Amino acid sequence: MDFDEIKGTFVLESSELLDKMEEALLRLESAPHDTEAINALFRSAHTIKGSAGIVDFKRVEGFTHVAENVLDKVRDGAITISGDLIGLLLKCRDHIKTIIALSSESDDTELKGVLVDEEGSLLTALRSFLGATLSQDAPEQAPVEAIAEDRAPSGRQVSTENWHISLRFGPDILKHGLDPMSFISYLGRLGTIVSLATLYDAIPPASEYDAEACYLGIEMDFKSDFDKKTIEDVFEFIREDSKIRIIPPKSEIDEYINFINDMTEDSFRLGDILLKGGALTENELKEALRLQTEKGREAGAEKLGDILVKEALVDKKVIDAALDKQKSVRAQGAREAKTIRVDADKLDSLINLVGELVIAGGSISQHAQRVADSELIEASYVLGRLLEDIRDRAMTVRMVPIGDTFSRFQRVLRDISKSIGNDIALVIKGGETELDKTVVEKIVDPLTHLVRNSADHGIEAGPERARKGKPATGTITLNAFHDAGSIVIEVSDDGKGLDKERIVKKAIEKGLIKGGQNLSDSEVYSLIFEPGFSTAENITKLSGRGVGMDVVRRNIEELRGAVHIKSETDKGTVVSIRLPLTLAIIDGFLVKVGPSFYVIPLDMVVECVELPSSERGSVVGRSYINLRGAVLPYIRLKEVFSEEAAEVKYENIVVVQYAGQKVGFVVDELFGEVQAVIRSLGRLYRGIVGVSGATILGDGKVALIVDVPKLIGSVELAGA
Amino acid sequence: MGVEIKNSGSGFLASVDGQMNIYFAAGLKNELIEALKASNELCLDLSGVSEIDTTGVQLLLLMKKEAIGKTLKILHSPSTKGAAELYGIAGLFDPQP
Repeated sequence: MDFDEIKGTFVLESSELLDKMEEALLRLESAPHDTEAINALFRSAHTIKGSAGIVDFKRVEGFTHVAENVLDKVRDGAITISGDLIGLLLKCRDHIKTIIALSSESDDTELKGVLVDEEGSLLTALRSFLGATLSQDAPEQAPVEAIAEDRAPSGRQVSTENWHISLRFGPDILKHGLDPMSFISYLGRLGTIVSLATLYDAIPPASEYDAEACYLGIEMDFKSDFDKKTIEDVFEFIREDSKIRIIPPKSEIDEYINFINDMTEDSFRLGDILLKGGALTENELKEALRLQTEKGREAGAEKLGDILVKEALVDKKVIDAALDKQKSVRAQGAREAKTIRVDADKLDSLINLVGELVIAGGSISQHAQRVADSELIEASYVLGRLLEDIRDRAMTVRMVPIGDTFSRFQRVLRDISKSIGNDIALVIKGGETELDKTVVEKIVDPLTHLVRNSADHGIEAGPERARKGKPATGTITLNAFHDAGSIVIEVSDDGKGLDKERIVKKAIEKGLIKGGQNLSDSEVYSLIFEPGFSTAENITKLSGRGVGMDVVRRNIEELRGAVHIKSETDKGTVVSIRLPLTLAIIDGFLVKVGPSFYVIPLDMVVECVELPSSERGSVVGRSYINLRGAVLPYIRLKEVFSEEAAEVKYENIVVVQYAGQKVGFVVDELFGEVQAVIRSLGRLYRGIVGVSGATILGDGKVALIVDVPKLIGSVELAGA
Repeated sequence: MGVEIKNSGSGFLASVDGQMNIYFAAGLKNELIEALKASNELCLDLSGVSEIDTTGVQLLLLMKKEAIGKTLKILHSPSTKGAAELYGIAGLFDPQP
């Protein structure tokens, strides 16, 4: 590996690390105590600094070093995470990205123009944080109940990611008609109850027992993504006469010490429960007890701590269980990281070879049929199955979940929100949906356009939202899911929706449509994708949705996809992008029209029916049949592709479905399933509507692949 | 709610059915405690209980505490078992090994 290669690797690696930093920073914005995120942040900066030193990017090394120092203090708890700090660190992360790019392009690392000032001001800001350590506010206080003691933070956080909820019910709650069972059931809906222990030591002897009083207490560990307020609100009705303590995930260990001290129960019992439920690890419990003892001595009172340590150690079984659990979590983390980096070109050539293999396999199986050698046929079946497997595996190698791409928009939205002063939240759904890597790369730009548009023009300003009775925070949702052989990506917002009248007016002005034309909603909305519709002065006037939307559509169509808009005034807008799942090999359905073979993507085929003889002689063009009571429009592929009319006994209809629309294709003969390796057509044939590519059949003949979406589109057009 | 207590030879068998909730808690507690006092072995048949609330669960815990040194068996119905599991105390009433 020569030095340039090492540099290349560094640039690649650091861009991944920078992405991780960004992700961690955004996570910290909502959960400032997430130690995992803080550690990830520090590790990333540290690695970048170290590697920059190796490849001799001095400027990167120097700058990152300062940022790392700040992060180190954050990790030690000397600097508390605040909104300002996150903003600053995000800027630093961007700056590191810029200077890495600069350094990799040329050896001249002198910064020019604005970058000098930027680096200067960032460094000053970072240093001011370094100087001002330890004067920050103490971390957030415990809820519901103020903590009585002075809490000098020990700076140690517990590692659990669960909430710990401690409840001592007031004696009268049952008489008031409040049953703890309903609270527990309700919590089950907000998250997962990891462990729950009921304390019933307070139940008095039978003679003093009041059957209608509540003597119970509950200690529970609870896993939930909801915030403290939501969890507190569950106990709204009993908070007055019950003792409630909610300890957030990753709290200071002091919280637990105070908690153990405050509770009247035997500390051993409590410690045991905390350990069993996973709220504290063995070491954390020991630490807590040690600190408790120390504090106790300072106060001149003997606490239960000493005994506890011994007893906690004696209870080996419990500790072992807790430790085992931790180990398994760690092992899982290690497994996830087992990936290797492979050159995309190598993958492409592998896929190509698999494609050739599939064709060759098809040819063998056809030959086997012809010579009617049963052993050969059997062997070719096995081969065929294996080929199918290897094809699927090879395709999945190229598949990546779209979630990573979606999470990039957290940052995009954050920056937009900050700049226009609107509060916008991003909701991601279906992030695990996988699609081809090349598709993912090409979809980023159109998506960015759409998200920006939604944030900039779709979501109303705060006061306007309040007036309409909407929540102050606007929501943009990114959703991805599979649907009939395609993947659908939706960008939706809860903003004001598109203004139909204005679009129509603008379109008439621009000469795109004539006045008096009667257009459906979706036709109106699709006007905004017309080139020329988006000129700069329209941006704000016309609900804004015009910026480069023609580019968006072009990009999507290049991927053989389609884009649709649904919109409702004051409810919001949904833009759905429909893309083919894969670009290389598909399962196809082979049919014959006249003398030629055609392949219809199998995912879109719903069923095949015979064309009733009564329809045989029907009019040229499009017709309808009655398919089990529903109207099914059909088109004759023979006419679409101008094939010679071969005399056939009966014709068949292949019913296909795309984007909720069913259409029948009339063909002469059905052959069944084939694997089609998609070959793109030469430039000469690019313009042909209805054909998306070609494939080579087992016997070397060429079959055209039918472009179902386009054909269905043309049916819709003809009907309009 | 109804409760029926009878001598089952070695001890008492108390069968509860219907609702085991706050409306009947006080009465039920007296009857069950009496039955427990009168014998060294009590089998609590809850299989007819259709509904149980926290007073009912708490009553079971009281019985458990009071039954120290005695034998207390509990036959659950789906609803009482569910409640005991919700409170994480189902294990307390498992038959002793």
